[in-house]
Amino acid sequence: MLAAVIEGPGAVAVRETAPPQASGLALVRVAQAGLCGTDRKLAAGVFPVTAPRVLGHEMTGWVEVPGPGGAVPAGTPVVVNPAVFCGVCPQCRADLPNLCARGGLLGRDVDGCFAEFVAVPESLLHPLPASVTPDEGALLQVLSTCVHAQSEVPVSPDGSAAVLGLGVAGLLHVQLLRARGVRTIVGVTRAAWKRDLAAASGASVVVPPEEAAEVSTSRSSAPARPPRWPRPCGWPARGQR
Amino acid sequence: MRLAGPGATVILFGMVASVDGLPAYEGYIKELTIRCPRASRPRDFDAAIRLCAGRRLDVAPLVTGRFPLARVTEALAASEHPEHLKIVLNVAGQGA
Repeated sequence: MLAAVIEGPGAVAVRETAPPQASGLALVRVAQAGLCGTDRKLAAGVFPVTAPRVLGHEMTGWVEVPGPGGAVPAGTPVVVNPAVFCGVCPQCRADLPNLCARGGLLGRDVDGCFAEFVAVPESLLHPLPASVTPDEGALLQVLSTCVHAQSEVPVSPDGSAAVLGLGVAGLLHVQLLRARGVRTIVGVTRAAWKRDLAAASGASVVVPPEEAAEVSTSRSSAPARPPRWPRPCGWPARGQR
Repeated sequence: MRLAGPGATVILFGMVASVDGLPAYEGYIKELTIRCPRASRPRDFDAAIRLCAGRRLDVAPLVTGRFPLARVTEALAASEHPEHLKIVLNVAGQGA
């Protein structure tokens, strides 16, 4: 099969390699793969990697050979979670498989998806409904990291948020905040061409960094000063002392 | 942290190696919560799929470039250019 292989720091070659062994894993035929800054840094040798290693961790495809559990049948369109996890360590048992002590990343610690086929644990397969388009599929992995980032952060329609940097992740954060009901979203970017895109994504206002402080202060619904200290619990009310 | 209001949460998203001049005292005064999220969990994938399938987001316009797998080095170089957002490799010829 054709694959993009890191052969050493700064050396990526597209060449024929043997297809991965599916023993104990699911074999997925790759439809498309997304590039991100991590791939660039792995390819350039900024992040260490044991060569040879097939690059790539963002992908959609179809199940070619189901995993041993048969949970996702052959032919099913899927997005693959690239964060390999063991499922039994304390972090995994605490529903934090992204922090798995024995985990790793596709395309860095195990062979990735810049190839015609990739072999992964079937626990990493997420079936895709037909309504998800290929372009949407290409963004799902990044979107999932944005969902995770905001997952423990409470928001309200009356609250406000600022997103600094409007690359792919920043624009997805803007969309996600809007979908969660936040009405005041300040986008901050140096790139003038991203302003329309950010506005279409749901930003209330988009400004360059030097204007961010002023806009954020004027748009924030948070109190300008912290509230005064409340009376300590148990303190007798006036007239009862 | 300087833009954040009292009691706010600041998310350091992505691989941030270090932050010089972190205004820790400002974080204390405002009692900020700092989050450094790493990757995502299976249920975050499920949520992302639901958001797209339910048309609650419009993510497709963020794909700005497509290359065949054979041109991966060209695609890696292009992805550094600021005019690109998400670059996609067509591995099985989808949407070429």
